Amino acid sequence: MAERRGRRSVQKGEYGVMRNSHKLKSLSVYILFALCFAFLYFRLFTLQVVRHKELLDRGLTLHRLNVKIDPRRGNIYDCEGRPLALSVKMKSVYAVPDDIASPERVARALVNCIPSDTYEDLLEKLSKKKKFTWLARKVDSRTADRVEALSCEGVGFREEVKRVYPQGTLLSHVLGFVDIDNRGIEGLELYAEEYLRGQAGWMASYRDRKGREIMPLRAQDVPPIDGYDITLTVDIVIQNIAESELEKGCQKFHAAAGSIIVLNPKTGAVLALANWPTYDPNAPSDFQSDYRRNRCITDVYEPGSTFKVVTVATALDQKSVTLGDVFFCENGAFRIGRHTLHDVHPYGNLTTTEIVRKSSNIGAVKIAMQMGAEKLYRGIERFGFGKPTGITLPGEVGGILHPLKKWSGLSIAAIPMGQEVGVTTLQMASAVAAIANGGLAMRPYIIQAVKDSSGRVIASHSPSVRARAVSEDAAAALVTAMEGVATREGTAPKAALDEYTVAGKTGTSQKVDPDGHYSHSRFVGSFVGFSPSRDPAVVIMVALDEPHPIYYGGVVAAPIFKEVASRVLKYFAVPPEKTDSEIKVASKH
Amino acid sequence: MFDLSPMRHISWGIVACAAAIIVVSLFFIYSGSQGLGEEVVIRYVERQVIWGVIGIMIAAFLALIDYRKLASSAFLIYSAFLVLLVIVLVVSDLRRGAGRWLSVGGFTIQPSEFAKIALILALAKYLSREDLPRNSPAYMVGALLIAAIPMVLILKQPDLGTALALVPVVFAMLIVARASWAHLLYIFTVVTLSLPLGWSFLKPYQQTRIKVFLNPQLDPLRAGYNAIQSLIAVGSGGILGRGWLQGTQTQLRFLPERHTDFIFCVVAEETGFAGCIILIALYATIIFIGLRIAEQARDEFGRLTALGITVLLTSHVVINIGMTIGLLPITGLPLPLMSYGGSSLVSVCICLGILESICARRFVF
Repeated sequence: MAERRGRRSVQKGEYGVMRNSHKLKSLSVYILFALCFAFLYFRLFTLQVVRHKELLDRGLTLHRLNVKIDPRRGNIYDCEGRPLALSVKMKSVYAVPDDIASPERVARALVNCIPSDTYEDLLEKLSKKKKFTWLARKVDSRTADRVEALSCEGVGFREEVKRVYPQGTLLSHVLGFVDIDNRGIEGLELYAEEYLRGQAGWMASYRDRKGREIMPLRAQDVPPIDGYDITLTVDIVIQNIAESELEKGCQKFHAAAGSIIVLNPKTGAVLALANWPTYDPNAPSDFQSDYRRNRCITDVYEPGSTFKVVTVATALDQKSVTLGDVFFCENGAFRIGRHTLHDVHPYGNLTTTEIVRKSSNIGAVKIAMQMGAEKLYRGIERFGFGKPTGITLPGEVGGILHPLKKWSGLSIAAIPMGQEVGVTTLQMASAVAAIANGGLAMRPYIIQAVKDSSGRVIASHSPSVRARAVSEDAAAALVTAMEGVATREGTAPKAALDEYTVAGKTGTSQKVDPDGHYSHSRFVGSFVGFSPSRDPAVVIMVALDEPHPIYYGGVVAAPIFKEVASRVLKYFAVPPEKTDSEIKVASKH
Repeated sequence: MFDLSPMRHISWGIVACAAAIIVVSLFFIYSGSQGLGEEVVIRYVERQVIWGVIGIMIAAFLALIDYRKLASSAFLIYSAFLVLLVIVLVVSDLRRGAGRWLSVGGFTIQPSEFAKIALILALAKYLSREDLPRNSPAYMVGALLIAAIPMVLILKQPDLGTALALVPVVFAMLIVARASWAHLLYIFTVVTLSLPLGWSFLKPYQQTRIKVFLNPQLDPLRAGYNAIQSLIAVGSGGILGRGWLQGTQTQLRFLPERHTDFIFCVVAEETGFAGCIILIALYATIIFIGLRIAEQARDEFGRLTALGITVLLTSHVVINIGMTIGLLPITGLPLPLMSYGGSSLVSVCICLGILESICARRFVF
């Protein structure tokens, strides 16, 4: 470069020589500078052209955020559209641990806002080598606001749907519950998961350095499809009546558990279905698992005397007996082989009607023996025992009905009175509903309709006939016999209603001890009946498990039937059948 | 008042390139400050426009006056800026923190930006003296003192980047002033040998920056974060870039200091290799013209000043771009004419104004 020392002193010739060496030096300086820029260009070429894809991908994995949009889980309503299960939007707090420089600082800040977690819990979650971790799910709005106010780097919010059951414990066994991710775990929530869940949507978007989603950059939204709403046949008014009466009865008679079912015999619609003890689906984990069991469909018991209606109805249907036929009841002790069959009270001659009314074991067995095992077996099958009713609830069992060829010689002396068979209360209710419905067995159902979020009906249930259990004549005849049960002469005078006729049957069955023998202390006391008897509005099945010290179905279960029936019939505004004077006459008896 | 006749000889290349870069800078300050709030973005751009106008006016003024007038007051300017640098240190000491800024009536100015020019002027003035033999140790010691005092003050701020950017400037000026090669070699050896010693004088964060430069994965979330994010931004640009306002590294604020020190990353991400080629070419043009002006300067002071300014610009451009593309450790150094900031913009304009003044008077009248 410049080689001129004091221009004024430079001679002309000398100047020319120096000019050449100066040119050479200045060229090398230019080259030096050019090399600097060439080096920058080279490095930029490497980064922007050669390594472009790698670096771009690295950036995009930092920027892209695929957010799953939860669909709204379908609601569940009762028959009048009153909500039983709802989905409510709530906020959940998450962290992106990769973005958190100081987990200790963030944990210290958060621990004051999130009461459910300790500092150590939070620190552990925040220190994970992960891109995403939940800190607190479905928090209340106050907690959410406080966390939001911190505006911690790497801590974000996501809206989540929380399942709530506004009726609390009501109908809990039918509704079931969901887990934290809104997957059905029990009950309808599980059974109708496909309907209720809906389809998740996706939102591909970008996040900024703090992990916050940037809305304007949103691309490719796939909107979620909300779950379908379900309308049940259950009426919460009737359900309330059933649950409160069941609880009262269970507590009064010290029962370990109890079940109640209210059916519409003409359609098979379940109007109420309850078990006691019960639980709150809003907080299922607070309750023992056996509180959460839907005993009505999962528990099998020996029905005892209530099963005699099946025996007698089949015998009447097969015309092997008539209501007037007389059977000698052996004065309470009937020897079959090496076994002796007893009645609770000894009887001499009883008509078929009286056998039902007084619940004579010996009479029922003699009717069955007269009809024969095969006809009895076919009859029991037609009533639907031995297989699930097909109600749309999870966990239903079919009960126990041994095939005919496995029957022992004593089976004909046990099955007619409800031993050696296992049934669910729903099966029993459904069988008696068939008698109430003129012998036509309707399939019990609980889902009335499935609608999408705009109210369009996706599926609906119309009543369907499962089978003809018995002829109309046989059913009508049996109803006459069953009307005697809820009288002073019958086993369940406590089931009688003041204003309506009642047909029913009591049952008191011994439970089987672990050693395989019938227990003398553990019983199931039950009552199943319908009212008004000739044009029934409801069939009600009540079973108390291990009531003590009193355990007779006519004493422990019949009053529950009475209370529920009278309140439900009033609710339905069924016109009273008996006038005031008739009631007075009846009460004088 | 002014003699306008030399103005025929100014370099229009520098004017065009500098104006182009300033205009481009406005777009990328706008892009880089997105997300800071609408009014902030507008304020940044507006301010930069104002500073640009002020800078151009100062540059024009400096081009008009004879640079030899600067030579006569070079030591006065130099002393004034030494005082300012000391004030910065005292004030920042009172504020109990690092500070490169002085607040003067609502404005914050960065005296170190201007002290660099004062250093160049003073050094050029000293080196162009003819009363001292070039190979005497006294000559060299004097030059080193002139260079070292402001550099140490700047280093104390602490502003390692600016101080380091001055090293090539001083060396280039000494070489061109034909200082004794033996002396230069001696200084070079001493500086090289004292580097390990200097390490212990660095602040911990400066040590971390250098360690992280050597291995960015050492601490990708904290110290290595900026280096990694700027590499991703540059690489994401590809050949043609992702489009103005479309760079996700920039717009999603993964990139640090987008409108100031890392503005080159914004350009690289949004305009790609093509945009980088053009931008660097603009700088290269200014710098090569600067070299040519130094070469053709009519006197020693002009030549040394032009060279000092050119090397200063070069070292700023190369260090700033070099740090964003992973060639050099991260130091807080603005990209001349591009980075947001009045002090930097105006100081570069002053440099270019002086350069034009030298250029315009390169012919002996």
